[in-house]
Amino acid sequence: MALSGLDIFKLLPKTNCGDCGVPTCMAFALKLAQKKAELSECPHASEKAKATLGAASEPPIRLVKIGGPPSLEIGNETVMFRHEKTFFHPTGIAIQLLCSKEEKKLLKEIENVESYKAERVGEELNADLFFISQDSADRDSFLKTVNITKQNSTKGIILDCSDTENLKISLEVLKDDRPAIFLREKLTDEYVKLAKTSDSSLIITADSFEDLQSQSEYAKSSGLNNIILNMNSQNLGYQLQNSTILRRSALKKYFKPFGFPLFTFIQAEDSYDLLAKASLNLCKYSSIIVLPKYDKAMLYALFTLRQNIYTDPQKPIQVDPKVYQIGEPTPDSPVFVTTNFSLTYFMVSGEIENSGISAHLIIADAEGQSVLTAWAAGKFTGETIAKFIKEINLEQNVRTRKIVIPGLVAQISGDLEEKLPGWEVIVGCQEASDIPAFIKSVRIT
Amino acid sequence: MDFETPKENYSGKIIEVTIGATPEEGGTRSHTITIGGSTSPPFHFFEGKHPHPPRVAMEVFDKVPNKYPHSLMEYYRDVIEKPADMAKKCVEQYGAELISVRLEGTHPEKGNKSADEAAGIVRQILESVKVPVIITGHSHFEKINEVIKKVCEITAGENCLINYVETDNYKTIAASCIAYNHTIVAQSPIDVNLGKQLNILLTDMSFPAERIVMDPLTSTLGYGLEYTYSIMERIRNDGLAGDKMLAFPMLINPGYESAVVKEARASIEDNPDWGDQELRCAYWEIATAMSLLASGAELLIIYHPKAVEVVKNKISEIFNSKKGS
Amino acid sequence: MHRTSSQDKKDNFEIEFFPFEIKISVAPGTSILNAIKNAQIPLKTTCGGKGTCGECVVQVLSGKYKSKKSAALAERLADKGYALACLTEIIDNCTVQLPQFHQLSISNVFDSQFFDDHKKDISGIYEVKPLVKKIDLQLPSPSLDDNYSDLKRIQRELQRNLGVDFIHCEYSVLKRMAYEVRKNTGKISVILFKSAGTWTIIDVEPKTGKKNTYGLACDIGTTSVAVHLVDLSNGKILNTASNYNQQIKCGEDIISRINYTQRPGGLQELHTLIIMTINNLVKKVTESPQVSLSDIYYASVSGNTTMIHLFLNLEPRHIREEPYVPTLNQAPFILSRDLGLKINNEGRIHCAPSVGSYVGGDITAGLLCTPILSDSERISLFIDIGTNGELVVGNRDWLMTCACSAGPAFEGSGIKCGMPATEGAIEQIKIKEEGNLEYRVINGYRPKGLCGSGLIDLLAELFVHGYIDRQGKLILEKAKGRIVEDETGLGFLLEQSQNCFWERDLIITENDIANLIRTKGAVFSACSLLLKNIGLAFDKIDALYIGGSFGQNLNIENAVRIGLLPDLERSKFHYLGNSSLLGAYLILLSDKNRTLVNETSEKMTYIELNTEPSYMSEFTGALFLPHTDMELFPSVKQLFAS
Repeated sequence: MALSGLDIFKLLPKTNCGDCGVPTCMAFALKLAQKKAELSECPHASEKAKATLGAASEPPIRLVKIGGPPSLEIGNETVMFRHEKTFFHPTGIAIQLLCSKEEKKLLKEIENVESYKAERVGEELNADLFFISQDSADRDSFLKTVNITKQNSTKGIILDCSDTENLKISLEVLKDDRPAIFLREKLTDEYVKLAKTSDSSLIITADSFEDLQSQSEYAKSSGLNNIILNMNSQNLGYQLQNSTILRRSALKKYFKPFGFPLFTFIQAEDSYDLLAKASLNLCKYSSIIVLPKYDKAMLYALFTLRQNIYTDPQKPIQVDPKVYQIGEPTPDSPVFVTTNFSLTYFMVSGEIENSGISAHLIIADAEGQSVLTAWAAGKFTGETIAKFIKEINLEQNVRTRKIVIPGLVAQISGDLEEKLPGWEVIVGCQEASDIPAFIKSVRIT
Repeated sequence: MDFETPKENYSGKIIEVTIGATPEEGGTRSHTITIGGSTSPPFHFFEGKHPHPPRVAMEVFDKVPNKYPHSLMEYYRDVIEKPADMAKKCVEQYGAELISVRLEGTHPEKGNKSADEAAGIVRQILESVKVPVIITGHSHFEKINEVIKKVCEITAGENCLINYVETDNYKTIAASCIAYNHTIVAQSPIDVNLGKQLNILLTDMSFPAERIVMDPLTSTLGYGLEYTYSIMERIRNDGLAGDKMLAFPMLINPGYESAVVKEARASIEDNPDWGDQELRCAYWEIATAMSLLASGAELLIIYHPKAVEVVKNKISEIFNSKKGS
Repeated sequence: MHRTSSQDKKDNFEIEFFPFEIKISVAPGTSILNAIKNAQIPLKTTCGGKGTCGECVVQVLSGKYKSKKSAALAERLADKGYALACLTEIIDNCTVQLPQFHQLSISNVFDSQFFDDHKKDISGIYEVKPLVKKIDLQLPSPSLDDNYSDLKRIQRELQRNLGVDFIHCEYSVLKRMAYEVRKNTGKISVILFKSAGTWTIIDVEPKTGKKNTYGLACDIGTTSVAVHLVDLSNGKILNTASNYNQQIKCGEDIISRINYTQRPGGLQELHTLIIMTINNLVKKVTESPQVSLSDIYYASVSGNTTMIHLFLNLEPRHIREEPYVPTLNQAPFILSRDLGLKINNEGRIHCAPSVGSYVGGDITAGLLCTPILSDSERISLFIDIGTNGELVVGNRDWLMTCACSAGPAFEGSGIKCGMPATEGAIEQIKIKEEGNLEYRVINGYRPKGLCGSGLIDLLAELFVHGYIDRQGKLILEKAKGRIVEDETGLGFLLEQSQNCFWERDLIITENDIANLIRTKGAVFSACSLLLKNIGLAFDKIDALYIGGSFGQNLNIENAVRIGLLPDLERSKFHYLGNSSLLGAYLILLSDKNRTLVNETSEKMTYIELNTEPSYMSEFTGALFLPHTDMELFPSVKQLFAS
């Protein structure tokens, strides 16, 4: 149960001794409430405080690691809605490899994933796991695929194999690689043993919540902790509702058997269908999504969605500070400047585009803060803007000597003109939506 | 401990809004479309009622947008300049459940078509298709107020969805909608409070609540989607928790917003790892639409025929699970 | 009959001018304006005595006079004893009030009913034990046997008197000592100041009858500055004055001031301006009763962190920049001469301690005027609404604090019709059923504008009576008759020019309303964020104290209706007035208060709202009347339902 700062404060010594490194007990209590500190940092904490806070700090959804190092970490989520705090561990995307395929094709598929290289807002986008399925009766082909994958990739591996003997051998091959085992059938003693000896995570599958609970409890009582839950359903509506019920049970009811990350294998008619299903599952609580098909454009959209949904809403995304070309600007096109808070950038660039003109948009480094916040904190001032403009050699690249600043910081115009000799500073509008009208009404070149 | 399905109590209900009017109701549509009415979060059939599935609209134009993606043009080349024909194609061939006519050409900087011209185009569309119609405007308040007023007048009784008003220009358009029996879209810039404020202002001027659809302003995939996503979840949660001023169905624009971003237009040669451009153009709309469906969208204006097909298909797949719950 | 004053003094009349208390003798028939000139009072008039500008208006408090009518003075005012000085002849002994000067001296506003009623309940101790002590000594005359030095003989007497071993002495005192000691055969007064447990002689003078030591309490606000002159022998407030902070011309808010210091010479300029502002106020408060500047030995100053930095001429730029670290929170005693403050050269200055960059000594000092620091049971909220709004929640065990940039709207700045709570300010206003306005002006004068309490009333009345909608936009159909329009947009006519002091229409514009809503929104959203941060609901607040310069009568009901204050039981509200100034006064009087305030500042936990991600959302929610979420204001909801 989450305790408020005031609840926690009441458990602390109230001496304001500062031994925890924070000036007051109340400040420390708030840090504890926000999980930015540990109770152990207070040398004077009472036993009662330790007991109460200890129970409150146990994660309701277990963190599970696959592969690595570095491993894919999933779980440890604390909220139903990202705006309540954030989603911590992005969904792992797994690509299915069918061992019935010939070696050349497999190598090509692995190579495709390994060589994939897309970047968005400074983050490298890629798949995280391979999901190796034994789809033929040929035992050796599974082992061969596991070996090929291990040799050609550093990504974590999920083994989908109903042949326990084969599984055992594969797990030996992967003994230091923290794999996961996907069970198509009920959990048995044999799988428990395999998972335990190989230190693998176990993806348990059930057709009903009751069945899932009993398997989860069985695994737990057998000493397994790294469990991932899979409800067997291919209907998108059920997937969404099942995942919601499982997550809510764990977070709101502290229902231990469901306090684990969730798994979804997507079956789809085509890539469009695949993306649609994967998108919904990604938003609604799947920690692992397995895609039976590799499609660059589809992956790019899915990765972008993952980045969006898993962005910490409390930490705004920053865009790279640099000059952005809107349309096809010439050296005489107008110059606008704003901060590198992503939403600010999207809105301003969008509205300049809407106005139909071409322009240079300077995105100055304001640590991702919005215009007013950055200004108040001294991160978006005449001085910082002028310095940035010099750093990027703007004066060599444009002929215009007029620069439009956001209307919210009209105050800095004098200062900026002082720091940028030869430039005329034009105070723009306050809201991005007024940019097209502003451009029509004011001469900015 | 035995498992028990954790259900929540929602005291609120999303307001049911109907668009279009049949001849009996004073219009000329073959049928009306109703959205809203849910009593639990999107697709939570296990803990609430969802009488109406989300609906997919497609859009036609009084003037071809400058940035219309090349791969979309492939589908519409023959009709793009003829909005009435394009509307027909969207409905008959691609399964559009509503048609939005975007009157961007009336913008003084983008063609400055007259209110009468706009009214003429709307009239043609009402003749060529029988599904309910959305009238989509722009941000030049002075002009759009005049245009919408005229359009409202000549479509009196049709119960079109007038898209959109903002806090700064709601009064004139809202008054026309009341006078000529239309439904309205209240648009606010990705903020729960601003959205709610506009709804309060509208209802304070006696605008009927069952004729308001909210537009939280769509940010497309990769361009701030997460803001729209979370604001919609917050709006929906508050609405279901009993806040009547947030209990409105929501409209989103994956089509328009995705069409302008570079991901819908840049070639694979420029960005090898972005994959095929034709596919990407549809994917961008699909991912935006599907995630926003999860956060509460009930009316989606989509451009790509493939995206329309898939999204409609997924909505009915999801609604199939309704039976079992 | 014609006489000159030199011929027959007996027939002359005495005329006394307030607030100066200057008395002169003039011939019958002299115009008051000429009398004012004779008294060397620098009254400005635009028309030069032609009776057209109305700027020389005076109020005759007693005595007969003969006055001509003028269009520049409303008749109803003339009936109340107002007259244009240039058109009025003296035919009796008169006392005359000069409103133009009185405007700046606003002593009446600072009476805090709460303080008067609760002196015993508040956390600060009300006792007169200042750090400045005056001791009268009769030094035994030196002789060949008792040939201790002057200093030693003073120290010896003081040691006996105070029961301490060691006493410091300032060099400047030594320079004059030999002279002062002998001037009145060893009868001397010694002024001592105690710091860090040690007494220091800061002045020695020959004993001359009854002469007291004085102190200053000073509140340096971003927008206005206020000073109490205090008799340190009995704690009595002798005089009070207030004026705009002259720094205003360099920027209205804190951030702009900090920016200004980054210009060459900017810091020095701001420092000089604040010292000038205070020196002018000190001059004013020492005019009546007349007090010598050199008898003021101690000044207790409170102000926000930035104002204190500028007052002390310290670099403030790091207050604004992450991680927001000021040069100091607790200043040591500073010498008046180091700052150029015109009191005794050895005068000591104490600044109330800050908590963080945006929570300053104004709030720590203000806490002394509330019971919060001594209450261990109840949870109280203290809101000080200035240009920078500051909030504290808690009790004796814990205190959380935060600040918000509210803006100076409620201090009357940045609003076209706004003004400080001084004479001529509308402090209360009501809209009657038939749409007429009924208002009360401070000191019953023709209105010059509205002070904070008046603006709050006005906003509430416009809202409640349906003249504005919930976003503060005028509803044209309803307000028809009073709508005016100028280049800045629409406005609502409050009073026509002929009834206003400045002979201009008194108008509140839509922009002004938006500005007021922003200000109240900033304060309320900071409140709700602060409480959310510690997981406390508004209904858990047992008492709410409000400090600020709204004026004498803050209408709590209206403050709630516009959503400035939370909708709590009305009995929980207490309006303190200028709590920062009162706190500075308490610190001046007792060292115990100084210790308490310093300890308090160290245990307060400061939250930076700048970095709170949900701030914007809270803020936009509060930019509505009373709030986007009407459920937060059940009493307002009920009002509209009925």
